[in-house]
Amino acid sequence: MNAVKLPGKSVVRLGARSLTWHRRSAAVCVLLLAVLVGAVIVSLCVGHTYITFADVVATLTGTTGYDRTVEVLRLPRIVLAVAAGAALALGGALIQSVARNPLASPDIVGVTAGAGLAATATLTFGLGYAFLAPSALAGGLAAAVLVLLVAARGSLAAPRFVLAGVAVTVLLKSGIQILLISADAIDAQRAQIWLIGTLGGRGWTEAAFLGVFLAATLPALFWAQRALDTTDLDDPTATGIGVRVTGQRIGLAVLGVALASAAVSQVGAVEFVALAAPQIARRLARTSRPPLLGSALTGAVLLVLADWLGRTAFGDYQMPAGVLTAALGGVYLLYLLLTKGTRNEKTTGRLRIGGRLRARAGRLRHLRPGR
Amino acid sequence: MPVVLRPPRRTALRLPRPAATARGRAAVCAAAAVLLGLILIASLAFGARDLSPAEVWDGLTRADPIAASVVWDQRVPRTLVGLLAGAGLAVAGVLMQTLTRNPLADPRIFGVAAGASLGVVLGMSVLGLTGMGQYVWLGIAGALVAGVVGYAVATLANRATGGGTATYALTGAAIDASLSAVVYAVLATNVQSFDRYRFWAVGSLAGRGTDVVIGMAPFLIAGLLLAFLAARGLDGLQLGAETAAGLGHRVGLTRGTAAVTVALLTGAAVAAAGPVGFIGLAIPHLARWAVGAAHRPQLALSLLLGPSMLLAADVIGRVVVPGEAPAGIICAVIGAPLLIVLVRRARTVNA
Amino acid sequence: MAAACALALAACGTSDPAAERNDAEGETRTIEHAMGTTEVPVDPQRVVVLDTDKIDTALSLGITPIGAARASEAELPTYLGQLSGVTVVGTSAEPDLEAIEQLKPDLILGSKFRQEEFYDELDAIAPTVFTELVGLTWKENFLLDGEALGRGDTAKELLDGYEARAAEFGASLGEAVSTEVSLVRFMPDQIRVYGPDSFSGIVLGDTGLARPELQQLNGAEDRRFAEVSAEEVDTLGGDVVFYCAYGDDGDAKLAEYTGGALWQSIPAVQEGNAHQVDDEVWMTGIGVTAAGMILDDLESFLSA
Repeated sequence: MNAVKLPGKSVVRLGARSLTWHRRSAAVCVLLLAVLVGAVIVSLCVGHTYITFADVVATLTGTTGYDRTVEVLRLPRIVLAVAAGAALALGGALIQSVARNPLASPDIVGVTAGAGLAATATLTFGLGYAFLAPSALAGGLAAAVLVLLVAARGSLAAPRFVLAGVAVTVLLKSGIQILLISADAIDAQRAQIWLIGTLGGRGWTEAAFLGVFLAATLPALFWAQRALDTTDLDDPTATGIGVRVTGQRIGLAVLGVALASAAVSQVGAVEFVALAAPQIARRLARTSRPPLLGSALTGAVLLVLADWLGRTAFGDYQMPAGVLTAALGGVYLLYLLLTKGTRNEKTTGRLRIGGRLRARAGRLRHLRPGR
Repeated sequence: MPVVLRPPRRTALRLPRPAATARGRAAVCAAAAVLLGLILIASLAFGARDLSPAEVWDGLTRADPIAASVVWDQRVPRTLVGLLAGAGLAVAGVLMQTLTRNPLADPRIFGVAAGASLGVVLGMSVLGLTGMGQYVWLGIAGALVAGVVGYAVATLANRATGGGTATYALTGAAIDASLSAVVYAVLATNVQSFDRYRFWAVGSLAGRGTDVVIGMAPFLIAGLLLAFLAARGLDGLQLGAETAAGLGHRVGLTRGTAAVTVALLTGAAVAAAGPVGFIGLAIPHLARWAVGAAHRPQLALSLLLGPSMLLAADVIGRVVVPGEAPAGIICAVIGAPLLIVLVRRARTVNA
Repeated sequence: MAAACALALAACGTSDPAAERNDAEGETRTIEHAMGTTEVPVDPQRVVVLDTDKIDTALSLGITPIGAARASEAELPTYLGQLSGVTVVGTSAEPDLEAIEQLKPDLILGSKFRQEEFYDELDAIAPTVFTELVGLTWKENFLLDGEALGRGDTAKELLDGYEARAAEFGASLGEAVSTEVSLVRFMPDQIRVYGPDSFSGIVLGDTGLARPELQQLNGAEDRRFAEVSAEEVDTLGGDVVFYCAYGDDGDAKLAEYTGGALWQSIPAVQEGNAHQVDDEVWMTGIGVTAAGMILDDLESFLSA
């Protein structure tokens, strides 16, 4: 992030750095893709019924006795998990980049809670399942607007947006609780499951919606990647350069909110994928900002695995995927604690040739007793 | 360029402070005590059942068995729970705001209450504990773990990237979300009614009996005493850790005491009344505006205003709303606008 | 490959390739229901039910379901006797689709109210019939489910038999039919009285027994139940009180309140006309069998 600060050197350094970035990022993406393929295969093969990989392939290419298990029960959910995980992670990566805070994500800054309030209202007022996804989508976007209204005071200081997001989330969650306690027990339970986030009962309809949505945002994502690569989103710089950067930041945030809202509207308020996936990807790729493609792949892996564990690992109980991703979020916070916070964000800016070694030495120093 | 909310030692509200002198502070505290007294009487006098003041008196003196049952089995225990839990949450809020130097600090917003909830829920459904006296320990332990982890994560993240207030708030929100999901998982897999949880989770005084009062009282009283013992150290801490150390304050000891106190107060209050929000946020700001930032008067006033807010919310819920609205909901309705005001007042400064 | 398959079989216990959707090879009938029309086998043998009321329905009609979803906070109901042969397939709110698929059902019964989002997947597994609601419309549900199970006539007979028995019982009471019956349930966090649209309220209505005015919930939008404040337990009304408790926490509340002075001051309690009944039968059960058992209770407590 500091690299662009010195205009004279930035081109050379940026060039050198972007080369290393790309090399490592590309390698990480290939690795993540391999892990994702592995997770998908495991998910397709292992369930109540174990189906061999060969049988899965045969089922997908032709007809076997496993058609229903694979093509109706497993595949749609897995495709949806990939799409939703990717969309959530992309939303998280964009919002974290704009807010310049590794803890900022759609689930923390209001989007998920807004979608949750709208969905809870839909379910408890008995509006029917058909209204659920559209109202959740609208709720997520409305919450983002609300955050903007609360935060907007002349300047566009990122931290205040974060604070406003947390405050709005607290308010919306209070609203959700009011609805939950005034609702019928069964409606409340349905709403609660949605609020946790689950892929149970979801299928091709939801997967198709998200797939089309992701495809439609692809040009915007390419633009976002370029904007992130070439622009410093620092507050002082933004104020200095003015409108263009501010516009870019708003554009990136809108894109992030839209992606997260779309995903949440289809699978419910799955938490922490958007928070953790971009940071995991960033650490793997050792970049200063979450890499978009890497984040998307990580998010997909997380949600596929969470859904698979949820439906296979708890006996007859179908654990909603959101419970597992949230538990993962707790682990992720502990990890942040144990690895000395987000130190990388500061050091990567100075990484040049040999920088990786120095970074490693730095990490060793942290492990020395007494620190 | 981190954003700072106005540091706690400055007033949150831009109104003239009523009590700049020691006498003024005493007057404010006396007024608050009178207010609390009136609300206590209201809490005993009003309820779903229409009892005249004379009947309430007969109930208190056990002259009338029916009224006595209503007053002693229902209204007295729930009033005592409100008194203790309100004081605990407000004082915990004062300590948290000083500890984190963050005016948004509140047991609920920072995930401490969620830690206590998880402890209590685990105790009830996994270990099969039924008595308040048994699971209050788990509530305290949960609050302590959530608070310490949250504080450590936020401090480290803050040291690395800056972000100040925002980082603390985000960490708390993340911990809250994570723990809430685990609570759900525990409830869902066990023979435990979700129905009960949704009512408990907003915070309420309804149906709390004498056993709850007895279970929570020792911890809350101990916590409140500790808070007052730590007051001087907290005054030092408000100047910043380095300054405080330079002035001879034992910063580590103060922080440790305050953290344990927050856990005691929040854990016991949440185990008894559920995670009631906004009291720990609103009352400290009100107290600081009224009597200034020195901790003794601030704690004393919070001690009086916290129960006033919780019990007033409970009485409003009992009387105004048909079929009893939980106190936690009323507190949220009262406290929510304040949260927005605090965020709107946040200023960005060049650090 | 074969070895791997065999290993998998051994490891999982059950895994022979499921056939295509178990559309009955034989004759089918068309059932109209909440999600449209469905072709169901004439005589379904392998039935999976997704709610507790439908367990009652199937057993009442002499069909033991091969799989049943449990309520999320409880096990399968016990009032229906031995259900050990029934495989639990997740919860009503989150049914385990693969477990259902493995049972190779030829009919699935559920409700739009609770499982709407699962309909497509369920219908791909086996013909699936959904009722609109649960509870309130239990008689219509029973007839529809009976129709789907191929025992429509039996269902009609059973229901008519139940209604006749209820009316007969009411008539046998003579004057005493104007006895006001109070229904109270202790929930973990509240005390409820049940109105005319609740399951046990409907059964009471069928007998013609009177209800206290407060419990008729006249003018209320939801006439199933209403909350009573713990301070006003003595105002429940009714010449006879039937009460029950939901779960362990409800039991604790029940013990706490029924021991209190307010409860003891209720005239029906003082006269010994308050009876504790089985929550599973009166509240959570729902079905012809449960309704019959409620009548049993009424006969034993009121006829004497």
